Amino acid sequence: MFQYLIRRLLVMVPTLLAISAIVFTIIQLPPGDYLSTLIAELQSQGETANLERIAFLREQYGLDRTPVEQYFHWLFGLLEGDLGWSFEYNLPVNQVIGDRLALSFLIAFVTVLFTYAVAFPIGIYSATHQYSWGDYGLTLLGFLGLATPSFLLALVMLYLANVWFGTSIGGLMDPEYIDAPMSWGKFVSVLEHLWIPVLVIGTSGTAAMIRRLRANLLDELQKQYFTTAKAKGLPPRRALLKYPLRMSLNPFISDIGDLLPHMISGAAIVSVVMSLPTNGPMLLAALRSQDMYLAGSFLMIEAVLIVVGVFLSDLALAALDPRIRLHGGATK
Amino acid sequence: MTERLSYPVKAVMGDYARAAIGIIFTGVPALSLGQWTFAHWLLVPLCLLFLVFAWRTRVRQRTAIVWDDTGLSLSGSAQASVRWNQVRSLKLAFYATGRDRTGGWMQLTLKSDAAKISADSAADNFPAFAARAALAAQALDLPIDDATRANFNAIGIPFAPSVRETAAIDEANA
Repeated sequence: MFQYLIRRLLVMVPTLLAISAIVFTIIQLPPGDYLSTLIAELQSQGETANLERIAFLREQYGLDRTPVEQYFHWLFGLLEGDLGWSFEYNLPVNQVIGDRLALSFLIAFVTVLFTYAVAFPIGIYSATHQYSWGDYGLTLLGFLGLATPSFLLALVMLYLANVWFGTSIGGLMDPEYIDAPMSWGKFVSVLEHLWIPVLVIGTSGTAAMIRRLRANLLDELQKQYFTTAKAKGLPPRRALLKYPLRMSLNPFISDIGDLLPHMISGAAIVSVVMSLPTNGPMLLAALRSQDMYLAGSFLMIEAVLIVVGVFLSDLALAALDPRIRLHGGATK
Repeated sequence: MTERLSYPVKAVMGDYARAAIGIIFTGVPALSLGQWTFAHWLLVPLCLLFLVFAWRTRVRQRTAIVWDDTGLSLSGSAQASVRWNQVRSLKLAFYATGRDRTGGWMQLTLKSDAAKISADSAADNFPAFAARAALAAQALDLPIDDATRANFNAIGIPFAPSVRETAAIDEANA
């Protein structure tokens, strides 16, 4: 296992370097830079830009250097924990994204818990009661969840939460707590608002997970070993939980790689609709305004999370089911 | 008859190269960054991990497993010996190099109350060692997990249900 861990760690290094180069290239692809976008914006509003100041800023931010120099400057900054400078906010990127990262993580973490807590019992019930009224009803609910656009559900939930519970529309806390230090009242306010985005963002994921768990579990339940186990008198619950359920969970372990980046960026459109102070809307704005270090930092954080997520899921799979595929060979 | 399993230089060259690359990629930036920064919390532990890996590879290269009908022992850098009838668990794991699990290597781990001995499929004479370990496990009626059983079958060493498992099935049947 240690050897496997080392090999996987080594694969991560060139992967991350390649991703950083691709991210930086993509950010640089649109013509011009943040300052030329700013000049064009000012000119479209009939204002004139101070060209001397623009030249000073271009030099100050290193935008006059070659893209390769800018890339290495950014890369070494990342290693030192310096994510660069946000032109739009005129602040270090670390400061700009700090609180948003925490709130994005909170929403995503609770959403993942919600998804698992709802999807697993329903998925198991649907599979073990295939073609029953309960299965049909839950399947219908699942399809509704999959088919409803999240932004539409967000609007409906905002309205209902305001009418039924008096929750203020939009945001993740009441307006008086924005920018206020953490307190019990602020915490309660966040909890009061949190269930709406969790429900909205989690619905489609929950529905998808129910469908997949049902399908995986049905495959396993139809295998001979399960029939044999039941025929031999193994209690049904034990027979279900010990073997088929475990086997049907492998695809979910492989998905850990996707979960982590969603924790940071997920549901950007829902965040825009619900005015959530998360990373998604900020990433969109940064990409539009060519705030390159801010956008690059977000993309790089997501890339790191994907790579770390895949690494963790590979380790978990290797530990849980270190089995060879029979059409392959064991070579080294 | 005594048999021997060891790692030829060719089998461990890849691991030495991996350790060196890891140490260079983590150690050089850690040293060049100067004062302690956020990155050091990541780079220094990783560099230590690669150093441990290099050391383990060295120990592995200088160690051989020798076995006969009574037991097995490690000779060289590491020392341990286990009698076949003292083996308490046997595991044959497959570590895939790709997500489709079609390429990779196997690692056989034997444990007794006093020692743990591992060998991987890069070593010379691995199939013979695996076959002898399987024989011991079957003779002792050790509990073997499904993955181990499947991996043994994949390398051509048939692994039937154990006596204990058959008895459990018969008991449930009765």
